Amino acid sequence: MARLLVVDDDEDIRELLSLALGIAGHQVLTASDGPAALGLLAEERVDLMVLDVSMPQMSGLEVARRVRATPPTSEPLILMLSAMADPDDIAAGIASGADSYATKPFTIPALTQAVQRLLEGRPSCP
Amino acid sequence: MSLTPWAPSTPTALLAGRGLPGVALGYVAVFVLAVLSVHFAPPDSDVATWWPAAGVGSAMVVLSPPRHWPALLGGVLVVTGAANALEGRGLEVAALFGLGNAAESLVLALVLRAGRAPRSSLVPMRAPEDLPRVLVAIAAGAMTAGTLVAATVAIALEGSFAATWTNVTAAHGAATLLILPLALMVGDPQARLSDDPRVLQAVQVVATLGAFALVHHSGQSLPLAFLPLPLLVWGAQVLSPRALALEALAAGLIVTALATEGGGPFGSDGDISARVRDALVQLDLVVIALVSLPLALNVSQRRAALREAVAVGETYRRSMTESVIGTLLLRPTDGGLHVLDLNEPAGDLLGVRRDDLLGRDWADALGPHGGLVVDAAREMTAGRRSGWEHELWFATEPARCVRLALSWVPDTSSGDLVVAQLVDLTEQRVAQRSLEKELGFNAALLDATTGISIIAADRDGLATYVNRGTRRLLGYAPSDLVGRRHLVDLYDPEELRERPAETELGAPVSGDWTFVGADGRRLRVSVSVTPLRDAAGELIGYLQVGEDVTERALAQDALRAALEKERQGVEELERLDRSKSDFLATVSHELRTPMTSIMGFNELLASEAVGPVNERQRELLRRGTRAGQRLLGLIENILTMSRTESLVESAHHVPLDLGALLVRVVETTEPLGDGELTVTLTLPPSGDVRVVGDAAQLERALVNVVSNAMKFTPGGEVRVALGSVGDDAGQPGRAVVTVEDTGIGIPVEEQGRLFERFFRASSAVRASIPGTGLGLAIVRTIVQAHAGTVTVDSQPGEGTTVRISLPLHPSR
Repeated sequence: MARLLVVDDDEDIRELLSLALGIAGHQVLTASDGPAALGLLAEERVDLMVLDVSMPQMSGLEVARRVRATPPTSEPLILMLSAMADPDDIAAGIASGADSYATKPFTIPALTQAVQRLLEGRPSCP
Repeated sequence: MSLTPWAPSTPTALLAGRGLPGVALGYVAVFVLAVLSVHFAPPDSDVATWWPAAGVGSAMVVLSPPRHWPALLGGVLVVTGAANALEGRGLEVAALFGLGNAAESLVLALVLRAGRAPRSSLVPMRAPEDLPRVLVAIAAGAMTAGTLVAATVAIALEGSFAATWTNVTAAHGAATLLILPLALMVGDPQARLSDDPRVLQAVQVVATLGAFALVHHSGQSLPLAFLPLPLLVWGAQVLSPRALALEALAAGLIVTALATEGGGPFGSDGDISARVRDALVQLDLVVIALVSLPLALNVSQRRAALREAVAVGETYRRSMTESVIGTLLLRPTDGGLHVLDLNEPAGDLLGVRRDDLLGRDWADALGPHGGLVVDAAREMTAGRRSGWEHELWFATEPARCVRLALSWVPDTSSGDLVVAQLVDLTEQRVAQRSLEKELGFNAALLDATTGISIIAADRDGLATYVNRGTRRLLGYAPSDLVGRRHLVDLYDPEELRERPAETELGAPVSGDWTFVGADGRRLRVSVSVTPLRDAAGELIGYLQVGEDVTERALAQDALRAALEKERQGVEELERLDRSKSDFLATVSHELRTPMTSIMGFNELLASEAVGPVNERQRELLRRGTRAGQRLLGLIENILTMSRTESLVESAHHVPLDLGALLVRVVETTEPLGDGELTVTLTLPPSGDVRVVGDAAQLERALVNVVSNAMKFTPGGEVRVALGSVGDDAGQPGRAVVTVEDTGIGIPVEEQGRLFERFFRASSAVRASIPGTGLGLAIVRTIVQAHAGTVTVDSQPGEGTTVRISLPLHPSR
């Protein structure tokens, strides 16, 4: 059981992920944008964050960079989630500090597996 | 008439070197002469026979500026008066005699200088014409003295006025006549000129004075006074005027002195009185002076003129001889030109020795050109032309080109002269000829090149040759340009001003220039200007070749414009492309995100993780999932198609296991089967089939093929198989994926178009099977980008088989 933070501006995705990951046995926090996520990270211990890239105000890449630049007390793993699947996009995600990168659309089993593998120290191939 | 300039002749200048000592010496001379004259005066006469003091005194006055005259005249009065008093004459008489002397000098000087500016030259004593004035002045002075002295004698000594007047006038006049000319010659170099040897002059003087002494000796009483006269004439020829004047003076002294002895031509018998004898003696002296002086002056004048002429002639001769320009002096004769002289360069140019040409007729020596030159000379002597100039080739060895200039010197003392000057132009003309020869050699060729302007120019840029192409290009005929226009005249003056550095060489440098044609038309000309040099490297001209590039320039402009337009178009396209990419990225995100939620929630429900689902509900969920799957596939195809052009560039090639990829593909597409279609996957038993490629792209291609097969197979079977060929025959091995269905098939005639974008088979349309016609086009693009091939084999109504072949990973 790990503490997860799902960051996505799309409410359906937040709901879907917290439901699916909750079913998989994790404690799930959610944030609807970057600043909110950064605020939460400053207060809460988080083991892993599922981070959407395309968000208004602050992109997932920027959130990841800030987390890596000034790590909160608990430095979370980051699973980047994006509809953009070009190698360049993936490379940009990894460069900003993500540990793994998953693309939309995803299936629930594939995503829960990716989270599990990341938590066990076995990052999956994007 | 004065030939030799004789500048320092003002009285001040003459006496400047002498000053007071000169004046003092003069007074001493006057005093001594006066004393001697009075002393030797005949006892029966009241006055002296000869009075040289008058000449000396008058000379002193005449040679002095008028402002000194009062003092000088006073001196004459005192000195002559004193001399008379010393010799026993009464004071009053002596004073009056002195007054007579002073008055004489004054009158003489006044007459001599009458009509002349106070500071002007002295009365010249150079030519016979100068004598009359001198004689008048002497006569006037002598008569003045005679009148005053005679009056004194008549009143104070009760003597005869007439006799005294005659004696005094003769004594004063004769003496002054011998002394004054001598004084007037002081300082004149011409008066010292003599051409004869000094010995001869000495002999002449001795002979003459000896003759006078013999004739007038007291032991001789024959009337032989005329005898020395030929000797005087001889003296005038041999001696300088000054020497002759001195000789005459000496003769006068001798005659006067001997006459007092009583002998000589005038002393015989007692027939004549002493007074008459004295008068005759004085007359003899006058004759001596009048015979010798004019003659001596005449000879001297001629001598000077001759010397001057010789000097001028010498100067001319030297300038001619030393000139580097070949010069000949010629005298036109009847039908010829007599060579008077020629200098060395002329001989060199004509190839003859000076002596061979001197005195000969030049027309003969000139050969074929003789007639031409003689005619020209005749034209000039006839006054029809003043000069003549021509370039001639002389047949010397080697042949020489000479510019011959004739000028006419009319009416010299010995007749008309023609001066010929010769300038060697051979080298210049040879260079020019070789150039012309070369140009002439190529003239036909040059003229044949009518599309190109070729202009040759001399060193100054003046056109010397113009080809026919120039008329065509610029509108100028050769005659418009040759010898009339310079190269730079053809250029647009404005452009020449703008590009001055390029024209510094004297002719514009090569490049593209704007020319102005004869009609003012401007045209762009590609110019190449080549300096032409002779064998010695000396610049002799330029060759300018010009080609009209106006059309080319226009075409270039048009091309440039077209390129610019295209560039703008490309930029526009790129901009559109960027906006399209942005649009697609947005669309893909906006479509995928909700689809992810739809599919995810369906899956969650179907997995019963949130509660039990009955069979009917599961069926509905599966239908929802299948529709979502189709929609996602469509989205992926549209996105992939939009990026087809960049597929190759964006591909991320890694070694991958094709078997594992196919497993995923079948898993992904399985929902499409709806349970009514079975998809079987056959993998090779030997293990991995590895290829190098972009996993996402290959998956997309295989998904398309498999989903197509399922779509067009309403019921039945889809078999997917993976195998490899050729990897054990030394050939590069290939992986082969076969997707075989039992579907509706594709009409044979449409099979060739299957891979076109948006093409849909008629069988699919008839069966109302939805689709975009993008699937196979994407498959081919991706497979070809992986160096693979895709083939379709179909039987309508029976099924279709798609084969994809890809190169195996080299390590296997």
